[in-house]
Amino acid sequence: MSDRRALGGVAAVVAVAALGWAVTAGPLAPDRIPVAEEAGSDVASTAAQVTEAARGADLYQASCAACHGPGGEGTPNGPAITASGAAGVDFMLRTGRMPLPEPGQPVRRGAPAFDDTDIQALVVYVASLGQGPAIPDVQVSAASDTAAGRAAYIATCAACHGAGASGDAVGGGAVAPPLLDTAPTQVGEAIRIGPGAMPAFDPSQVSDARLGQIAAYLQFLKQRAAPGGQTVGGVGPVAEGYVGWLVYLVALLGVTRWIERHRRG
Amino acid sequence: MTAGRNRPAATGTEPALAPTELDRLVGWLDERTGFARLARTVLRKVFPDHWSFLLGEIALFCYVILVLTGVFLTFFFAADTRPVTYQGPYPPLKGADVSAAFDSVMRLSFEVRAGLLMRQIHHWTAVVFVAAIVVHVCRIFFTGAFRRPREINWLVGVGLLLLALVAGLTGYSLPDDLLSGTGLRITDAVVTSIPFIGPWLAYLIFGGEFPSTELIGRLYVFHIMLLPALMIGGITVHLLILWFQKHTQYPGGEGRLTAHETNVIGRHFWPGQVFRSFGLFLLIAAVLAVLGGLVQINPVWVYGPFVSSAVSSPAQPDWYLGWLEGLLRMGPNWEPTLFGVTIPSVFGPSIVIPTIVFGAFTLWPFIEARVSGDHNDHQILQWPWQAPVRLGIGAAALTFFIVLTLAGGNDVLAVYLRVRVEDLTAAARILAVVAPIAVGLIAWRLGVERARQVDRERTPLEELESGS
Repeated sequence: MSDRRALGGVAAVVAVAALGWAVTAGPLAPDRIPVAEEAGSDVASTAAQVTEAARGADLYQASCAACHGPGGEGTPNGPAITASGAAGVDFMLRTGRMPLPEPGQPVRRGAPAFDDTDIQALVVYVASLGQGPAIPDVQVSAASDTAAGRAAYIATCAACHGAGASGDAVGGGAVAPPLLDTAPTQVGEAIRIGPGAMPAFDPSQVSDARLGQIAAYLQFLKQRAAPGGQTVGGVGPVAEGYVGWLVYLVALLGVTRWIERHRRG
Repeated sequence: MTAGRNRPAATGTEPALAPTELDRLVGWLDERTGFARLARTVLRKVFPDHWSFLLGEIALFCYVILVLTGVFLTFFFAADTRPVTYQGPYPPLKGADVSAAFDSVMRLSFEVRAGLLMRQIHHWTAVVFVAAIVVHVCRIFFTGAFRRPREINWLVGVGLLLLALVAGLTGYSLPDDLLSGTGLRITDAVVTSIPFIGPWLAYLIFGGEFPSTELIGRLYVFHIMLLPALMIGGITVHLLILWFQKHTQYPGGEGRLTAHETNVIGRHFWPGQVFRSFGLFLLIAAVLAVLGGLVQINPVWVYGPFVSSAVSSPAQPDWYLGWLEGLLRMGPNWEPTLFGVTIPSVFGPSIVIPTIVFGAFTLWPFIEARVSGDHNDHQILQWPWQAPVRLGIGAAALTFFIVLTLAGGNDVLAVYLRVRVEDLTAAARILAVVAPIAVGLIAWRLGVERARQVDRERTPLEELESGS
């Protein structure tokens, strides 16, 4: 009991200190901290929320504001993100697309720059800057209907991402990335927000249940050992042609040369 | 070895070699047909030794493997576009509306024992088959083997290559899947683009507007009956002509034997050539079986059934039609109007240019004879550098095809190279003209240099022999 009280005390001190620091050190307006006014009786919980918001604001100013502006309103170097919503921020950060190493660099998937706590803090903070889509609840289970997922995937996604989710170039330097390593929640977020060249789909077009089915189908494609053996990049006949030529040039010409030399010897 | 009926009776202490049942049977047959004389001629036929003379055999053996695996596939394939509901074991397609053709390919892949293996061997062999033909043609071309008196066999060979391409297209379109359906849609657009007659011709071929219910059945008849019959006929003629004209040989000779226009230095058909060829067949079959067993090709369950409203990407034909795809992707968006008829932009890249290129390729022996004025018989081959102009033209043509083929996969390349697809298309338009010229000139120059160098190194005796 005394431990928990001590923890709460420490959290409160940290929270107050952080809040004080954020308000004094950064251009953080008090009305942008949505949880500060809702302080309840649970000191530790409130403190954690306050800490998170303050932390999010801090991280935002350090890593995002240079391009997206101090209030998310955008600058010549980066678009406004006040309408990105939790889904947009979460997607960009968890797939490592943001922050860019430098303004103007291509937006590519990579290892996330922040850990889970920081991402949550940033999501809460940036979501509070305006109105945008919430993080969709993407449910994937063993009972998910992969047949419905496949049908929706082929109808909606395959034209750019490929039937095998191997990804492809879609023109103008944009790339529809491969999807087999994308987590279900990020699949759902991308469908809702339409990052980059991709169109966004609202729940009237692709329902939340359908998001789960699509994600489940992608997991099926990834997890199921490919029938027929080793896949060759999943990009179809282009890769198959290279493999065919390689086998011809190495194996078949090899045995032909060998059999000719063997006979002479 | 002598025929059984001529075997002398055993004498003395030597172990008796009594005529076996086989000897008796062979003798009985020979007394009635007189085939021993023919067989002796056949078996003693001499074939020159060089590994490059086996390149055509690789293609031949691929064809044999295609027929063997193809027959297996026909046992299970249904050339039927009637809609059925998929009820097989592949979960993501459960309950999907598919054609009976697609359903049968799914059954082949997931339920028929060794079905997927046979499918994959068949498809991989087709991919390798055309590569084998292309390399064989290169050997024929660069060594001047097509020269008089072998122009007819060149034409037969070009016909076989064309048949192989059509067999490939009709074959990989049979599963009625999303990817090959996209290819058929392009085929339909290409046929339709022919001025004046295009739409009628497309209706005639497809049996109605694309996608018609007739098409899979027609493709099937072409793929398993008409094309194989024509190819077997073509291969037979190809080999018979080769047999009666005798095989060409490289200049030089072997040991103390010197190759002349009038002799053939090499091994007898029996046992040398037969055993070597049979061994080669087994090795090729083994390689292709391993490939078909270990590496996936054309996963139709991933593409799913053809749906006219959907498309997948990247979408390419098998590699040997990739150059046509490249031409289409590079083709400018020009649609001129001639005599009141709009010429679709597809027509030039997909009909006109291939016709010109393939036409020149087909008529090459006659073009070369006309230009060079060489109308003599040739049994001795040339090393590629001995005809530098031909070397340059051949290298340019190969470069052209490689650029086109790469352009056919420009979206895949763009991802790997991290550049814009549009930039690759622009680059391909330039490279398709510049690269063949550059490579052709370099090859020609290298050929000339090599010829000069060999000329300098010739000994007086060689000059005497060559009659100069």
